[in-house]
Amino acid sequence: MAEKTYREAIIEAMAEEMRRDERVVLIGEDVGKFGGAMGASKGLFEEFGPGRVIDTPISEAAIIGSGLGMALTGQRPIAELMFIDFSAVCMDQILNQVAKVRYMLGGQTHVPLVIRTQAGAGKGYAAQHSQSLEAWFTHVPGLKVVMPATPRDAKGLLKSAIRDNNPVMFIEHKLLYNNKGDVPGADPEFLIPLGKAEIKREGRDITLVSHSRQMLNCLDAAGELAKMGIEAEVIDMRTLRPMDFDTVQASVEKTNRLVYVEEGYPQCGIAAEVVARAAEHCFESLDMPPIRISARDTPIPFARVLEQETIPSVRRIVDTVLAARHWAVPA
Amino acid sequence: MTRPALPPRERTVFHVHICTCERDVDHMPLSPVIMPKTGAEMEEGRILSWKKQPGERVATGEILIEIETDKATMDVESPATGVLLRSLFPAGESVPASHLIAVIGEGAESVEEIDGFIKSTSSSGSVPAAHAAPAAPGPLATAPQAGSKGSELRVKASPLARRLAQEKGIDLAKVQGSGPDGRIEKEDVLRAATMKVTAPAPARGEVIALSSMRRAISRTVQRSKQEIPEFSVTMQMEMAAALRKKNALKAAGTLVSLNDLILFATARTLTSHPDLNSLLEGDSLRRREINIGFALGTDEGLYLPVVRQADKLSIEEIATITGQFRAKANKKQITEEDLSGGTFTVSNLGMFGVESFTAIIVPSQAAILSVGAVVDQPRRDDNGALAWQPVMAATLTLDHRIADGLAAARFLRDLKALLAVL
Repeated sequence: MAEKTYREAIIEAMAEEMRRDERVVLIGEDVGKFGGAMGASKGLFEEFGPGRVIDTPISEAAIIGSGLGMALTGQRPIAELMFIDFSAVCMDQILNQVAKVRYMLGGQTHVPLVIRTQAGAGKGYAAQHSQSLEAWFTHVPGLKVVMPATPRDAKGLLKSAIRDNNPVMFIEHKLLYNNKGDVPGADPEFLIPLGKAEIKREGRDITLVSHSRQMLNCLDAAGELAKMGIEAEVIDMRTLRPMDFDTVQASVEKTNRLVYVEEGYPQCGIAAEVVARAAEHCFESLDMPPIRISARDTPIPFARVLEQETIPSVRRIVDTVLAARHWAVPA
Repeated sequence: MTRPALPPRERTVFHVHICTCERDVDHMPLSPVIMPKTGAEMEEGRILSWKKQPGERVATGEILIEIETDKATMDVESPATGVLLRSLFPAGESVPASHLIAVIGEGAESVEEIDGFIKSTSSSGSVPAAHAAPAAPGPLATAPQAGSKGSELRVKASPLARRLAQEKGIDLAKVQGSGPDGRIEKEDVLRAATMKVTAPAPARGEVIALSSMRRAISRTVQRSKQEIPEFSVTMQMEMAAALRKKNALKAAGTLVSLNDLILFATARTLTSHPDLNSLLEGDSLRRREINIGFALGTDEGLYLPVVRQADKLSIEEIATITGQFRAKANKKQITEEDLSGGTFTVSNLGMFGVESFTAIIVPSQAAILSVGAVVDQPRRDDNGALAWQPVMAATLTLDHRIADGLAAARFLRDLKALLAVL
């Protein structure tokens, strides 16, 4: 076990898989010589050369289109979109080509493409560079969507995504790259399966479900609530599609209370899907209406103070939980 | 060539909607504070004092009001954290149970909003059995006066609470909800279930209807106990003389019971204590003739036949009359008239060995004398020597509105004196 940053975990995952399988290549803007806009491919160009770490023009459609082409012709590409906000530029490639090709070709081929990108607010990058658009991709059959919150999860899930023969949207968070965490050491076979949520903290009073950076806020909120005698169970979804609702269901049946925290916009987000499933499958286990905590229904502001107010915070999670009911907490 | 004029610039306006999908912590709903219903018979509570004033901050669990019911004084806790917006009744006022007495909110609500809340809360037939838990909460509150509005008022309960209530056979209408807006939650149902389990199990076994005599006695004694502020005084009567009298009469051919002698002595003593034979009428005492009822037990039940003007009768005459009553009772021929007109009652359980007891005053009478068995007790005689003496406890139970302990003591002293010279 070694302590590594989220960024280092991602670099390691790609390096190990590229060493293991020469068909794995990385393409994107500034991924090669520059080492990645977020530094997430540092050292790969030096190790694997321009044949396998390819700097592209500024054209998202070209990046994904080439990635799809490479995938269809025998390679296992990792295509990077610098900001998830830019996925809008190549949406046709992702939605109509990458996600549909295997189906429309009757399974004659597969698309082992990983689209790596990053999302999230908190750096003052304003409305067009701070969004969390995972809900768009989670909506689409034919795609898998993964959002790790910790270095360990990032490494294990990215390796699994690269080895998956299906298109995977691997969405990182721009505020997590410097976070440190324990990552299993030199084990090139360390894999975390896609489609499995993880209980990051056990509790019995209320279930907080989340993904990506907000999951860390939930852990902090759980710490604060514990001081008040409220034991929150924190679940990290990790994979949004396919969604592991069984873990959530078991938890809600135990705690009878559900809160979903996400950084996406409020309407039709991931929380909406989880809450709908809870209403369907956990109806008689619910002791209070499920709660969704998300970014406020507005473009992400540029001003830092407003940005902080717009996205969920530990304070907002704690206050929302406390206001939800009359907690019988010890005096 | 001139350039075509550009269309006027559109103003782009961002509409910012505050997300309402999460419970917005900046706008909490108003919380009602209701007069708790602390027991099935509780009709209303009186507000003794307000511990918080409108405008003051309150926290959940803090004491808000001190109230008084007919059983006890208790504290009412605040159901929510916020600002006490309005208190609807001043100290000293009585409020019906389950009625709205205060409103708690955030502090910035408008008068219209508070008025609207009060109106809607009060008009829904009843206030949802909600937050104001007295310091000793009782979730098995009787259903609020939903009455005709019951069908319109669906009980607020979480899906989990509904399932648990169904599984445990709990009537949700009888459960007090601690959730927002009085919603019944799992904890409330579980608490109700525990209380249901610890309540005494319903009585099992054969059901025997009370006889009409029993029912009549039941009503009479209940009324007596409720209305008459009674007290009792006991004195030991020395019965040697009475026993000698009884034996002498027997030897002369007249059978009298000890009870007959007691009736005789009581009647004569009452002539000097007319208060104890009077009828209380408002603020006055009505004097009346001395008609002594005595307790006559039969298989059917308890009769109280009345010996009229007993103070004017001899022992033999009293014995004859009581004997006639006994015969009539055995033949179930006691009449209404036999039983009416009593002004004083004597009850005797001595034949069963009872040493002393306290009977219940017959309504419209001032007192009742309970006598026990004659028991040999060691006593010092005038020479200081120890000897066994027959002694009988006589207990006078008296209506304190009419006379006090001194009067009781004097009566017993005089009765004792008379019994000693029979």
